[in-house]
Amino acid sequence: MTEAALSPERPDDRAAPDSDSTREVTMTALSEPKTGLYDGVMRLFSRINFALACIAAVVLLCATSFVFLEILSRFFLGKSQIWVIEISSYSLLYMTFLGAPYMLEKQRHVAIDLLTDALGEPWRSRLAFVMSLLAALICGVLTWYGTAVAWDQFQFGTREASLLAPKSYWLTIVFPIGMGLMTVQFIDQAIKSLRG
Amino acid sequence: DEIRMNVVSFTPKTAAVSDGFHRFIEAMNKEFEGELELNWRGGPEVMDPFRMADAVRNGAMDMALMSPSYYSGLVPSSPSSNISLKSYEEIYATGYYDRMTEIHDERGLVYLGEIPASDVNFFIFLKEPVDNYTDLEGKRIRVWPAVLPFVKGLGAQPLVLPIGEIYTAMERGVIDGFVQGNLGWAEQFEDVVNYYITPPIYRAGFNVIVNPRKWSRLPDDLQQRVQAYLREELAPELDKGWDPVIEAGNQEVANAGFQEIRLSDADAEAYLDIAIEQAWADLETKIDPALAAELKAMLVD
Amino acid sequence: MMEWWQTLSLLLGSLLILMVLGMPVAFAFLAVNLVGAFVFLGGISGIEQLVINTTGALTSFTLVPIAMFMIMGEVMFRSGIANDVMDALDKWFGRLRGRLAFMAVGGGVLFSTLTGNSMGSIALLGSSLVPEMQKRGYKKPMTLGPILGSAGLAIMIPPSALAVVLGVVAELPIGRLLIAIILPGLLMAVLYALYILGRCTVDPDVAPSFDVEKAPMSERLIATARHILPIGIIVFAVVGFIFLGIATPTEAAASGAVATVLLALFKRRLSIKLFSESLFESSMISVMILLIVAMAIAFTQLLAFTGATYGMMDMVMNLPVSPKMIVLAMVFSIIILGMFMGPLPIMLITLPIFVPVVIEFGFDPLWFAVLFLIAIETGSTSPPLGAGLFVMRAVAPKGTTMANIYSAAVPFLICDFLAIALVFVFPEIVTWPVSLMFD
Ligand code: NA
Ligand code: NA
Repeated sequence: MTEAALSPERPDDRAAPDSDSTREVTMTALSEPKTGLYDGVMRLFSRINFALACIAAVVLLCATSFVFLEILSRFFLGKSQIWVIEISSYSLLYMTFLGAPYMLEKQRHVAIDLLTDALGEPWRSRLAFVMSLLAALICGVLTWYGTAVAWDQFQFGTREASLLAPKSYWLTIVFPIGMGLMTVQFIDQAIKSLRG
Repeated sequence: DEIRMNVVSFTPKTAAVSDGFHRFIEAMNKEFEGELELNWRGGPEVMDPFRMADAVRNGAMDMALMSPSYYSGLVPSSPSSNISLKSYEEIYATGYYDRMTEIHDERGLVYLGEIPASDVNFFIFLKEPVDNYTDLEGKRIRVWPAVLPFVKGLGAQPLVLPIGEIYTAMERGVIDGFVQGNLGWAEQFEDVVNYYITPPIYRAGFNVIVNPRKWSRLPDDLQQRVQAYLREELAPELDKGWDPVIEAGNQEVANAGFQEIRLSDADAEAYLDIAIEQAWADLETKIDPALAAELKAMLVD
Repeated sequence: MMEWWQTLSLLLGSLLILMVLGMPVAFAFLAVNLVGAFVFLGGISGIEQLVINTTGALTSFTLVPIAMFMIMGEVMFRSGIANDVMDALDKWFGRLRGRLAFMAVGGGVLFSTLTGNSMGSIALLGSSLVPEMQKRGYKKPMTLGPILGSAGLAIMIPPSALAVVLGVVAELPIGRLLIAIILPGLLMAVLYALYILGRCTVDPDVAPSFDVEKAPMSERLIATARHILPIGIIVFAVVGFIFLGIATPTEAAASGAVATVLLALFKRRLSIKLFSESLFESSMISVMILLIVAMAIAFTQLLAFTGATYGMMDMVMNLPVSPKMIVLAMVFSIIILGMFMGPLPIMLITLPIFVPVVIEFGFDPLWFAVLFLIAIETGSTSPPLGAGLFVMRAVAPKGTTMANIYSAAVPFLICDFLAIALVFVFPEIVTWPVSLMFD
C-alpha cells in the first residue's frame, strides 16, 4: 500500500455510474486469496464492517418509510403515529455508528489532503502511521468509556426522558461497537502504512 | 476556603423562564459569599438539556437547574411536582421535598430543592376558536411527553414535533394548536396563533440537583445551611417573584392579539380534572403505584 | 486560569493541526473533544459525558432530512433522472455557455424552497449534479462552486427552519423575518449568476460549450414534457406537501425521497440492484456527514463551556469604534464562528448579546437578523473548516481534493461578502418588502 493510509480514496462508482458498486468491490476484495492469520482476521473484520453498513442502509430505509407512513397516516386516517419522530432520530444514531467503520475501512471519511498530497515518501507513510496510531488510541479510549457508560446505564436502569422512554443503554451501546471496530481499522491502517 | 460549583440550566440564560435562575444564583452567591460560589456556565449551548442530569450524576457538572420532566429517565417520579395546582408553601408543608430528597439519593443525585414557579402555567394555544374544551376532540395538538396524557384525555391527536417546527406547522395547518407556557414568545407567533384556553393547567417548578461527590466536599454545617436557606427562605421568595415576568408574558400575549377562550366554571373544573387525573394515571404506569399514591396525596387534594 | 483567547486558540489550533496532518475531520474533532472533555469537564467524568453528549447530538430529528435528501440525490443521479433533465435543458439552451452552472444556481434556489437546511441542499445537489456536470466537461470551479454558493440559499428562502429558530431566539416576529430574507436571498442568487456569466466569458474553458445540435421546437417540447415536468412531481411532494399542510418541512424530505423513487420506478430506470446501491451510498455518505456534525456539536459545546466563545463576544462588543462598525464586527465574528460551529449554538450564544445592542443603537433588528443569516451561510462554506465544504467533499466525485473545493468556494464567498455589504449599506433591501407586506 503506497497510498497514505489516511488520504481518502473513493471507490470509482461515480465517475462511471455503470460500473459496479462499492458492494461488488467489497466482494471481490473479500474473495481475493490472501495468506496469513493477520489477513484472515482483517477479512473477518471487513465482513463485519460490511454487514453493519448494510444494516445501516436498511435502518435509513426504515426511517424514511416510517416518516412517509406518518404523513400518509395523518392525511388519510387523521391519526398521528407519535413514535415516528423518536424512532427516526434513534435510527440516525444507529446508522452513523454502524456505517462509520465500513467507511473508515474504505478510507472515505473526509480529510484535508493539502499536506498529505504535497508530501513525498517516506514522510507520507510515516505521518500516516503516526496519525493512524493516534486515532486508534482515541477510538480505543472511547470504546472503553463508551462501554463503561452503557454498562452503567444498564445496571442503573437509566431511561431516555422521552415518550417511548427506551432503556438508554440500547442507544449508547452502538457507540462503543462503532468505536471498537474503528479502533481495529486504524490499527490496521497504521500497520499497512508501515509495510509501505 | 470557598467551594466553586459549575452550574448549567436547561434553558438559555436569556429565556424568560431563566429569570428565576438569575435570582437563585444571585441570592445564593450573596448568602454564602466566601463559602460557596455558583458559576453558571450556560444553558443548552453548553450541553444538551436532556443530558444535563447525567452530567450531574457522573460529576462532569456540579449542579443543574432542571425542568423535572427533562430527567425522568434517571428519576422517573421527578415530573410529579408539575402535576399539581398547589403553591410552593402548600407542597412544602406536606413533606414532598424531603421525600424527593430520598428518591433522588437512591438515584445518585443530591436534591437540593426547588426553584418554584407555581404561577407559571401552561395553556393550549390555537389558530381557530373553540366553544368548549370538548371541541378539541380530533384536533392535532403539539405536545411534549409530560402533557401527552392530558391531550389524549381530551380526545385530541397528540403530535410530537421539534420546537423549531411549531411555527411552520401552525402556519400550514399541520397542527391545530400546541401546549406551552406564555412567557416570552407570543409576539413572534402573532401570525399563527389567535386563541388560548383558560384556566391554565399544571404548575412549573425547577429542580436544583447536585453531584453527590461535590456536595460531600461541603462541610456538614454548610450543607445544612444551604439546603435550609433554599427550601425555607429563598424558594418562597422565588415563587412570589415571578410577577414581573408573568406580567410581561401576559402583555406580550395581549400585544399579539391572542384571545382568551375562558371555560365556564363547571367546564374549567372538568378540564383541570382531565389534566391532573390523566397525568397521574400515566405516571402510575411508570413508577411504583404505591409511591405514585403517596406523592399524589401530597400534591393533589 | 487561561484567558478566553488562549483557550480558543489552543482548542482551534490543535484541531487545525490534526486536520492538516491528515487525520480525518471527524476524528480530529473527536481527539480535541476527548482531551478537552478530560481537561475542562472533570477528568474521567468528562470523557463519560463526551460519550453521552456525542450520542445525544445524533438523536435529533432535525438532522434526519440530511439523510433523506441524500436518497433523493443518489436516486436522481443513478437512475439518470438528473441526466435527462440536463439533456432536456441542453435542447433549450444549447448555446448558452455555462448553462449547467446557471442550472446549479437555479437548482439551489429551487431546492432552497424545498428545505431549510443548507447541508441537505449541498448533499442533494452535489450528489446529483456534480457528476453529470463533470461528465460534460465542466471544470471543478464551475461544478463545485455554484452548488456551494447556492445551496446556502436554503436558509435564505422560506421555508427556513433556521430563520424561524432565529426569530424565536432573538424574539423577532417570525412572519416578517420570513419575508425579510427573500429579497436578500434572491440578490445572492443574482450575484452568483453574474459571477458565472463573467467567469465563463473570461475563462471559457471552465464551461465548455460542446455543440448540441439545434433541436426543433417539437423535440424540445417533448423532452420538456418527458424529463422536466415529472420533476414537478418531486417538487410537489416536498413544497406542495409543506404548503398544503400535509407534512412539516422535516417530514417533507421523506415524501420527496419516496416521490423520487416512484418516479424512477415509473420511468423503468430503477432495478432492485440500482435501488439498493442508491440506498447504500446515501446512507454511507450520510454517515460521513453526520459523524462530522455530531463531533462538531460536541466541540461547540466544549468551547461554550470554557467561556471562549463568550470571551470573543465581549471583545467584539467593547471595540472602541462607531455603532455601525460594531455591527460589522458582530457580522464578522459570526462568519468566523460559522466556520467551526453549527448555526444553533451560534444563535444561542450571540443573539442574546447582540440583538439588544443593535436595538439600542437604533438599528432595525430584522436588518441585523438578515445579515446574521447571510453571515452564518457564509461561514458554513468558508475555508478551512466550514462544514458545508466537508459535506461537498463527501459527495463529490473521486479525485476531488479539499484544495479544489476551497478554491471553488472562494469566488462565491466573495459574492456573499458583496451581498453582506449591499444589505449593510442599503437596509431597504430588507425593510422595503416587509413594509410592503405588513404596513
Ligand atoms: Na428554504
Ligand atoms: Na453561499
